[in-house]
Amino acid sequence: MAAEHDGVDALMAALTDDPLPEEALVDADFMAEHWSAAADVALLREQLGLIGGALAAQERTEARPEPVRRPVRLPVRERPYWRPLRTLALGVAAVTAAGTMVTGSVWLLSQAGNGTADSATSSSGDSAPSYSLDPDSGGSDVGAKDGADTGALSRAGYLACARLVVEGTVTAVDPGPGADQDRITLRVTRYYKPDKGPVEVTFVMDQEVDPRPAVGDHTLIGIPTDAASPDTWTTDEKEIAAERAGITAALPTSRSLTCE
Amino acid sequence: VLVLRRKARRVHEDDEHGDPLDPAQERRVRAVLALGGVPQADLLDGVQQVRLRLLERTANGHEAPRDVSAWAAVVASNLAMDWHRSKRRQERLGERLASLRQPVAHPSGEETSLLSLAVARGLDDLPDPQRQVLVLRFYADLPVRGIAEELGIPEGTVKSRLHTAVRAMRARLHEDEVV
Repeated sequence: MAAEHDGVDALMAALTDDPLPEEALVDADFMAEHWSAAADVALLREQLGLIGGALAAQERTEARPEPVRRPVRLPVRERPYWRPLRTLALGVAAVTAAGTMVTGSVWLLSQAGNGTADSATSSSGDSAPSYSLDPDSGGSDVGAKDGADTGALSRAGYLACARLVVEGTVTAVDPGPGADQDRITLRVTRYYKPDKGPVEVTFVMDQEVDPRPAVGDHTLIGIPTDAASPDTWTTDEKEIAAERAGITAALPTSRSLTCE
Repeated sequence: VLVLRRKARRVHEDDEHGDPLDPAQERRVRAVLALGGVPQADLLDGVQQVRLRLLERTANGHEAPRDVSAWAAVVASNLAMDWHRSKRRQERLGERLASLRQPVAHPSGEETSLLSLAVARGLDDLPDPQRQVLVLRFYADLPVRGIAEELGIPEGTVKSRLHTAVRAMRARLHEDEVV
């Protein structure tokens, strides 16, 4: 287990540039790890700059776009299909490295994923955003809050590519199949996708998630179709409430989206 | 159109071309799109999308972003994410980098090229959400809090994704013995 202080390990400290706790400064093991991590992070930063610069410069001479004298030079009809529809505000969290061990819990989730997704559990739609599948509608930004119009992923898009989105209470946190992993058991109180499933689901998460799951936590999680672990995890009640409203509003639209 | 144009000029009144992105910002957007896996052929469209969103933002009455470069980087990263979602394929950075006629410029030469290729391939293998925060943090140089605010996700999520991504990248680079 990596050395850590105040819940911050040496790598995390290098990632955030946050000041180190005083006790960490006199912890030789921690500092050695921190310096090593900081050196690797600096190298990574440099390499991203070099690679990004090289790729950005490629074909620039012949491909430089005209200045936008006519802002709608790109007709709405021709907007690329990948234009974001709307901000994803899923309060979120844990990401586990791809290739997480496939366990019995995954089988359970797979079974849950076979439920029907046609009938909605949505109980409220009064804050339904202006999602649109039609790029001509230009409605993708309607209602986007200021500061969130950076075009994050749409909730509907997220839901379309999720195999499990539920709220529930953590009933068990057991050692996972891999080092630094937990096996989480969740008693589901509300299914969003699919609309129904078993009372309990089990999945694996990295221990590095923030916040780390604890028995009794009320949480909202989302697991992508191609993952065994949640990429969405929040225990903040305000975030859960906000996402509950957003998810229920976006569910109908998500059913008309395909996740290829 | 006129409204859009007028407001676009308000964003950068000192820009004699009326382009809401200056050349440095455009390069940055192209880089973020490319690092996000958007193919070379689609970079131009991606940059135009960022311009369009900036213009629409002002046309909708919002103030110009405090930091246009940071805002544009986040928009570009999200475009890359949605591009992946739609296409379910990505252009491998490693292959694209290897095909460049001009190697990645660095004084240390060949060794760095190998390192760059290893980093590019590491990026290729990261899940999209991890790659996004990694690029925003260490290419666009956005703080964790800023990334969380712009993406609408908790800081803890950004930290977790960063941690997982960098841990995977470090493991790969050490295994490949390029560091």
